[in-house]
Amino acid sequence: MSEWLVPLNMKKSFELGSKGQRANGILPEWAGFLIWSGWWMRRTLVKNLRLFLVLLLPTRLCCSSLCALGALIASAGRTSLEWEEMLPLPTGTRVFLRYPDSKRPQRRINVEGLVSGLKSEGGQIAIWIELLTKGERLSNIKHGIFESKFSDYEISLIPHLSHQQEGKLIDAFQFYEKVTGGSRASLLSANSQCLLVTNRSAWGAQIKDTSVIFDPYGKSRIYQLEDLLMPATEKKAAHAGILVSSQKSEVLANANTPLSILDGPEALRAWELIKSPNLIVLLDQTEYEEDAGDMLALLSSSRTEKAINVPERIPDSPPPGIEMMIYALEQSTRP
Amino acid sequence: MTSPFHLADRIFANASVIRVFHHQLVVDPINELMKETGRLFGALQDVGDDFAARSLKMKIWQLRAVFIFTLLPFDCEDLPIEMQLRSIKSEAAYLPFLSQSIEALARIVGFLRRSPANPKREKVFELLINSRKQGSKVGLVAALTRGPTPGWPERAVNEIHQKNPACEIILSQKMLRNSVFDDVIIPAGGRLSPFIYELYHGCRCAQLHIVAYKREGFYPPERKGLPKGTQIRIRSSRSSANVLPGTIVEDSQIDEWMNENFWESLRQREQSYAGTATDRQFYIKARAIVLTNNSLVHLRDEMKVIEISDLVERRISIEELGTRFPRRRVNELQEGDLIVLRTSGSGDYLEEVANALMAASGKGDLVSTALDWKSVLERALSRYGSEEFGKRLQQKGSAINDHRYIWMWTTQLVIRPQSQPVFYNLMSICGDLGFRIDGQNPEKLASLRLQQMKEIIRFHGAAGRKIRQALLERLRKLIEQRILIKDSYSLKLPDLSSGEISVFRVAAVDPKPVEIPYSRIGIIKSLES
Repeated sequence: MSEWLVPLNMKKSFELGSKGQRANGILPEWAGFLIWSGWWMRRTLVKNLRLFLVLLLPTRLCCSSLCALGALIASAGRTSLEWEEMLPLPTGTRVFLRYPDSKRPQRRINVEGLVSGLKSEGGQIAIWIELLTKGERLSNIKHGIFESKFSDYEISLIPHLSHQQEGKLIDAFQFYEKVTGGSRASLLSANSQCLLVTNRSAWGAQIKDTSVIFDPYGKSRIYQLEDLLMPATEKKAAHAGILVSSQKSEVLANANTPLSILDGPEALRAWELIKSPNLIVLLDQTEYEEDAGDMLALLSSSRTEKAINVPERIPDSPPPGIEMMIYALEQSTRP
Repeated sequence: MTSPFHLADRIFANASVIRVFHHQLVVDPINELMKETGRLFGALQDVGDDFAARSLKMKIWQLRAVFIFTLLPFDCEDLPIEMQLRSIKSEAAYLPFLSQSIEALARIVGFLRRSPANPKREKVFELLINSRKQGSKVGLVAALTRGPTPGWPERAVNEIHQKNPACEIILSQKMLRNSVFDDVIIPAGGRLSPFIYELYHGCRCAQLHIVAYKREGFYPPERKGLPKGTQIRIRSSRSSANVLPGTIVEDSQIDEWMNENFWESLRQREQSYAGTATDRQFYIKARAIVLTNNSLVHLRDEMKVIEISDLVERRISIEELGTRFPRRRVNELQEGDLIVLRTSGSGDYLEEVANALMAASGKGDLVSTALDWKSVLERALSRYGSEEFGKRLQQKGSAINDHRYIWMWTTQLVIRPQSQPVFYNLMSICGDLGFRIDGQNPEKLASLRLQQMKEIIRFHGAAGRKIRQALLERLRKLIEQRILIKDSYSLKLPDLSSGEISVFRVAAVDPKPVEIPYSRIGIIKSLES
């Protein structure tokens, strides 16, 4: 396994290959590095800082997909909304809950609710949610959720997947579940995890031909990379893994993903429209022309030198041929 | 075909191993030829930069480039050396101060022709044979200049394939980008190659061989780096080609001149024609496209042409192509593209096939009847000017952005105005100005003509489908036969007798458009004429 994937603490390993390839996949260092980049940039949210990770590569072929895969692996370990994310939600915020039915523990209740405030009980804070349902059993019920019990609930700002919807994505869920050890249902229920700005047709052609060979040393199983990324192009693609957009689409201004990947110089031009706190910019050595250079010079001149933590146990430099630079910008700075 | 992931893996693997070998050839007569042409250039700099001086400089550069770039023996009859020398002599006859230099040049050329062993050919062939023996995948760069590479007739490719049938001739950036090689050979210093940066830093090969004469120099482009970023524990790696320092030679000014002045001289040439144009009063924004067969064509900047390089070079299959041919706007064409152009007969191919279809269905006179208003409009415009028409159209509520565009409707490029009210108003203005079609007021015929033009458009649609089908059939054969289109390839379309079309390789595209007379659009002319 690539050294770059050590910090991911993967429970099972995987390799990459082409469509139709049944075995003998590979996971070269460059691919490991790109997966790590997506994983790290998805996890590293630094308060009041915007991070631009710029990678200058010998080719962009397959690179954005691997970064996106890393971002999804990073997302898979998370619950829908974290406790800290729940606390600041204003009273009246509409949320979607899913929790085990106390009468039939195999079943989960899937219900809509409104945040009705915080209360302190016995020295502990509880978040109160009023359920919105016409069903007799649950109507007018308020749930007080304590931090210690929070993991029983999946709370999201968008509706949870139905049983049928989940069935369609079961393969992908199983993959992430096994790779990360995280809970299946938590995956992607909050929102799309990553916006990918690219030439959609060229990207589509590339990804169709790439497969992920899971658990190559055990009971191997083959996934198409496309299925694992669960791409969607619609603005309201609630349960998509990644949102794929061209640089001219309206989606850019509306997407609110924690990470965006700008694939190529054309995509870089759209950076001002992007809201994500973290961005990965992929440039091919041969496309790195004046426009992109000017933009990066601007980032360089606006950067801050605040310390950014990088995981231990990874190599000191990227694989050969890849140049990497981080530009950290204060949130208030507009280069 | 290699999958995108495996292609990427090879490219990244090359990044850690790539090595550049510089095979320097010290050949005295070539050295002398380059010195002498350098001296001639220097002398011509003092004359100024008028059309005659530019023309002579271009010819001197061409002759020099044939010797530098060719892989054929210097006495090969396919090389246009004698003709070039004659042409230089005749143009230089008006500049007596050049006579000594021209004589010296002729002596050197004569010597090289009499002792024809070509050291570059020998070195390149040696590398090709080695690659063949080692079973390594080899590519040879043929795009050595921004225009057509001088000294590379068809025979050169045939001989290369005799030495190594598997050798891929790299004619474009696209061909390079979609492949990986063990070895790539550049038979030149590389200064003028349109994708020299990609060759050094695109990691498409494990070994890059540069075979160049000493005076050609050796110009490894500096690898671009990212501006300084926020400090983190990971330090950026900048490793790439294991590149030797370059050598820069004194007379590189000739190549620089060529690089800078090539397009300018073409634009000036076209403007000199434009100045004498009398057949049409209006100009169209067009772009010069240099084709690898040493010809030039100006195409309307905003039109789309059929571009089939991905298909012919098997990056996509005919099945994947779907129902439409790939088309690319002229201003988006790039070196190495393969475009389909009409090469015999006159006018537009689609039109001619459509006319044949009309004739077959007993409507042979449809075009002449339906479009009879065009000649009337042309006469009216000639007499009253397009500005007057523009004003009158505005008064009638059909304002147009640029009145000069009205001339466009007199041509076959567009059948009629997009908007019907504009057409009615146009006919009405012709009528108001006293013009008649067969004795009738054009306004009265407008409705009938619109109907007839709709019918023409339907025939054009049918013709388009027929051409597409025939072209696909022909291309399928071409792909099956694995034909490499280096320069051009003529396609006679089955079941379509009207004329011939050809596939041309684009050698270079002018970065700027020029305004040229409408009548000069689409004419394929020699670059040297």
